[in-house]
Amino acid sequence: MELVTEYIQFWQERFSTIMSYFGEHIFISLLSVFLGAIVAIPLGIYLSKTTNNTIQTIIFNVSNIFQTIPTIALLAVMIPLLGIGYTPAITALFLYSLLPILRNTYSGIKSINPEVIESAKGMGYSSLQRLWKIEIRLAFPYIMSGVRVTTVYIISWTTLAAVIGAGGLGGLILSGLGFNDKFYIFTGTFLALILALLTDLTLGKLEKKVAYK
Amino acid sequence: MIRLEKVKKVYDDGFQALKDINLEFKEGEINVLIGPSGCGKTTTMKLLNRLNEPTDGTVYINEKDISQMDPVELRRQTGYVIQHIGLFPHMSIAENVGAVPTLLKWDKDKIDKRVDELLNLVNLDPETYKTRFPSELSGGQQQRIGVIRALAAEPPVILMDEPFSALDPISREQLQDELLRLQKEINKTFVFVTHDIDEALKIADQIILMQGGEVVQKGKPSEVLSNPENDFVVDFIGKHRLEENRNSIPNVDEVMMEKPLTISSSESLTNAYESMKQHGVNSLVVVDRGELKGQVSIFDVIDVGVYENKLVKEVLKPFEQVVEIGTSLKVVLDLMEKNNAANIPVMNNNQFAGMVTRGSVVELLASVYANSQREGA
Repeated sequence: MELVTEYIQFWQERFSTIMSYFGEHIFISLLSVFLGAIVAIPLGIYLSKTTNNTIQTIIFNVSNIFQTIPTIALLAVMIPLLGIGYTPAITALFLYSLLPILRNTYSGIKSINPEVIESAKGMGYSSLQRLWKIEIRLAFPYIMSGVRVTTVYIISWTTLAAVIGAGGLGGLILSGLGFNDKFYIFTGTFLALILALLTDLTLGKLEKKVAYK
Repeated sequence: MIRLEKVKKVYDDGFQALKDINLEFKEGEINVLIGPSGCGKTTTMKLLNRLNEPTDGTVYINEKDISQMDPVELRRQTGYVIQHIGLFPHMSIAENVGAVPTLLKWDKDKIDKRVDELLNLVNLDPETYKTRFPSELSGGQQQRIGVIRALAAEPPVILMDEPFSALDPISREQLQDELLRLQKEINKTFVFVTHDIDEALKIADQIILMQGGEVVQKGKPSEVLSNPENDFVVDFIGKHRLEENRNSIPNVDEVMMEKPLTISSSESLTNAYESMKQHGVNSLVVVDRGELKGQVSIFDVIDVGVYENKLVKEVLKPFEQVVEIGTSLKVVLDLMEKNNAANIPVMNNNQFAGMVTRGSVVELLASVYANSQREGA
């Protein structure tokens, strides 16, 4: 019982600090995914259309390589390149978000029944109309699930961004480790978890609402 | 009218899909392209909406070279139905049917009205089906939607690529019947690809039989059946169908002379006589603007006197019997026999359409039995 009151007191005293870490966390993770989506979705569409196999192989391999570098290593490599703070953290997480979104967009477009495409072409849809009114709509569930999965794990990886001074809930955990304070560690972990779950739920709802039956 | 002139198609790998195709698709008719797979029938059809470009030669639609037209515009003016339907799964039935009108920027009310009209045309209740999605419909219903979607913007030409082949036999029969019924109402030019000879014989006005990138034979189903060009055609159609056709009694449309010599009732006997002499016939059909009056024979003219100043209408003899188009030849032969008539006129909606004569009956017999040696081989 004492523990609960103490913990409540901890929250009351440090509420604004916790919230600012929380805010940083949301900012870093969502901006990374957003940038990733902006680059990877068009790129995925391009890759699904191009007949140039070399370009396809190169892009997939490069984004695969980013994926295989351990998170902490990639973050560390960013320091000599971009210093410390938001920029290196967001850059690293952005690189991680590329592959899953790219892959899902690519397979989403590729999964469309070729007969639907042929029909659309034969009916007189121009290439852009076909892309916008048919292909993207049909690939949407795939693209969306790529974004969703990516968001969830980028939120969890963002906790590591504190190591290179970007802040976020990882900051709380690191402080907890430093002061041997279980409240800090618990709060950081708990909030990161809640954020990931809520985001997943919201994106899932959105996906259901926009996708066709 | 659609015309292909010296069209060749060679694919990148060197495969010659079409070899010098010269072809006309008749306006307002169901033109069926048929042949074994790889014969070039689908390739030929796709030339018409430029999903395929010829390597050489020209395609004309209403005398316009379509390679000069914007392909997107051309396709919006050409209905297109494919084998696996290709409905857009994310759009409701109403949106699917209204797709081309939407592309053409019709206003919303007009599209809405058109969609209702089309759904009614294939006996699908608009209120029930408009808001549904393709996955909620049966295969036959989906293909009905596929067909009316192609008709939506009232294109003069509709291309169909084996549209019914993935359906079960019962739905297929129904859709064929519906297509024939529709065609009576809308009178469009259809280019229909199939590999099913029964389907072709049932729906075609013109059959175009292809093999190895060439047209082997074209004509009305009855012509192809009664006069197969070569052994390939015989094999493709199947001996049992040819046999059946031989045993079935044709109707008058196939027997009659479509353009016998006619004369108007207000002409002079002298002119009638001259015309008969010139063409070597002994009677003329008297027709005034499509309306059948009777006939005048050389004996009537001579009886009265060739150079008497008289008109045809004073000596013509009305026909005792006429038959409607579509009547079985059996009925006509019966009439000729009973009345000892040398010829019987055929009417189409009270308009004179043609004449069954003893000569035309003999011609038909010759065309069937003159070929009979081949089938013994």
